[in-house]
Amino acid sequence: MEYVLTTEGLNKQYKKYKALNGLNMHVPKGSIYGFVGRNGAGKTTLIRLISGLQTPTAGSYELYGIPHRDRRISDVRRRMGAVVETPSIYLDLSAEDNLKVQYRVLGLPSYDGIPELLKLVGLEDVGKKTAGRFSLGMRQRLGIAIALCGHPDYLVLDEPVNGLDPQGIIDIRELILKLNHERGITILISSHILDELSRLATHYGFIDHGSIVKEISAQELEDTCRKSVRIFVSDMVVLPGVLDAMGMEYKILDDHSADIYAQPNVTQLSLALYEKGCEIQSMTEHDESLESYFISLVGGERNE
Amino acid sequence: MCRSKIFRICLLFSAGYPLFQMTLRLIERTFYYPVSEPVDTFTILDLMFLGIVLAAFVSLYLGREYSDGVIRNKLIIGHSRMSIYLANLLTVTLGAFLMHGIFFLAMFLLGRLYGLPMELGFGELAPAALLGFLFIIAYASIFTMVSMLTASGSVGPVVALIIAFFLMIMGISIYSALSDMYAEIPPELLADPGFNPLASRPKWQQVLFPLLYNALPSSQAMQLMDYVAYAGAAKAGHLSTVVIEPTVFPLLAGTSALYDLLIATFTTAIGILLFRRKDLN
Repeated sequence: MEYVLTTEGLNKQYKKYKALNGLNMHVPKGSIYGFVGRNGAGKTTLIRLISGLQTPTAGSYELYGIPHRDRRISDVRRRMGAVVETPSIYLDLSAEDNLKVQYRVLGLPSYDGIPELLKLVGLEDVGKKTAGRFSLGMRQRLGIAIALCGHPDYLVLDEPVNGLDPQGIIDIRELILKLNHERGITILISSHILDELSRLATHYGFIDHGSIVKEISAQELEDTCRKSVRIFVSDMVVLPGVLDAMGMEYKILDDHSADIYAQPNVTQLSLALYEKGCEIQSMTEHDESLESYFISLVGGERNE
Repeated sequence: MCRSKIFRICLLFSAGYPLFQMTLRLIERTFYYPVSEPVDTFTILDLMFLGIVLAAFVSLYLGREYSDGVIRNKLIIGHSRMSIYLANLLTVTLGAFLMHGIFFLAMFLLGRLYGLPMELGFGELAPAALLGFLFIIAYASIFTMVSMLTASGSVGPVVALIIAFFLMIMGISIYSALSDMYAEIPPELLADPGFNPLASRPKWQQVLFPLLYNALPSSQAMQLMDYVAYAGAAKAGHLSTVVIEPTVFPLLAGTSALYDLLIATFTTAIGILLFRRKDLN
């Protein structure tokens, strides 16, 4: 698999505080990578490092296979766009002027494409209004437009829906999906709003105390979090045959338990198992949300 | 830069102050004092408060890069820290050049237009004005370093203005101290090229005072004002005793260039070195 970003043993120390602690991460090309963690876990610190705003204390990262200490990293960064924490926009310039400034910073020969960019982010009608008078959602969208100026194929968004109203969240979500599906842009989104990420991400990285606790694809996460009935039996040899006969999808967990991804008729199941000499010790409904999965990874209190 | 409100305000000041000052002189001459002092030194008057103006301009202009966060956009797409630093330095320096140029031309043209007394011609004043560009290079380098390293749109201007006032006060203090020393010396001794006016002073004053007098952009500006006043009086034939002998212009220009370029080189090198290591948010 090709990776846009890989980190190896990345550390960042601020005086006595260690923000990143041996972080290893892999962002597959073409994915929407949801970077999940609590406040203060190190999400923004990592984004600052890979954006070139700060340098690691130890460890390394590679962008498109180029190590960060290599001189070619500045060329590779041209393929990247980022919105770090707050959108970086000139508040006394209009949306169009902000994009023109970024075009000049990029050294692009003309301003072609600016109207299309504004339309893409939904700011085609703002005219000469200065960015200082934009709503938070509009500024966020302008920040993304600025990040898209150089036609990057890798976009880093640091908590892009923070502070947005529901419509704003929907707009940003649809924009992100459009960028990924239509333009093939790899997107790294950091967030602690799990519900929103679950609608977007194809891959997840869970960070806690400066380290990646787990990296998992959305498919694997869905398999883990599927609603199921967890059954504990006395004889695991018998159970698969009975479930197959009943036409139920299941997954054997260990010698005594399995997850059944259906709603079994309890009476029929227990009779069928009893006929073959197998006893049911317990049955519980198992429904792990992304939220509970995250809590189980990083710890914390459950609130039922 | 042209869209920057700060720059536009400074440009407005560069054109507006000459208009105000020369109109005031015209009113004075018309209604109060028929014979007025020559206005040659007014053409380079901006050099006296250049440090303060540049401290405000540079720190506010570059501070916006941090307060709006737009410096991040340049780093993210791969521009090196050195190129960002030098681009900012060049931008504010050119902006300051424009302000100084407008001020000088406005003062000169208005002085001529109003018929105010001017002893020197454009060809004699222009070299003095051009020397001001060296002061600008030194000041711009100092305040660019301050702004790029404080990384704050609010702290940077405060630090820069404190430094500007410190430099100005130090320049005035050195000038005053030397004026007082020279005032105690008979003119015939001052005229002797082999005479050291500071010979009776402690060794540290003999070294430090001339060094600061020649190195500080603020006292360089005072030297230049003295030179313009002296040259004008000499040309008009009413040269009176001056307290501090004005330096011959080429020597003044050479000394200023040396110290100003040294200041610019040193502060820029330090600034780039520290900016490279700075963690930005």
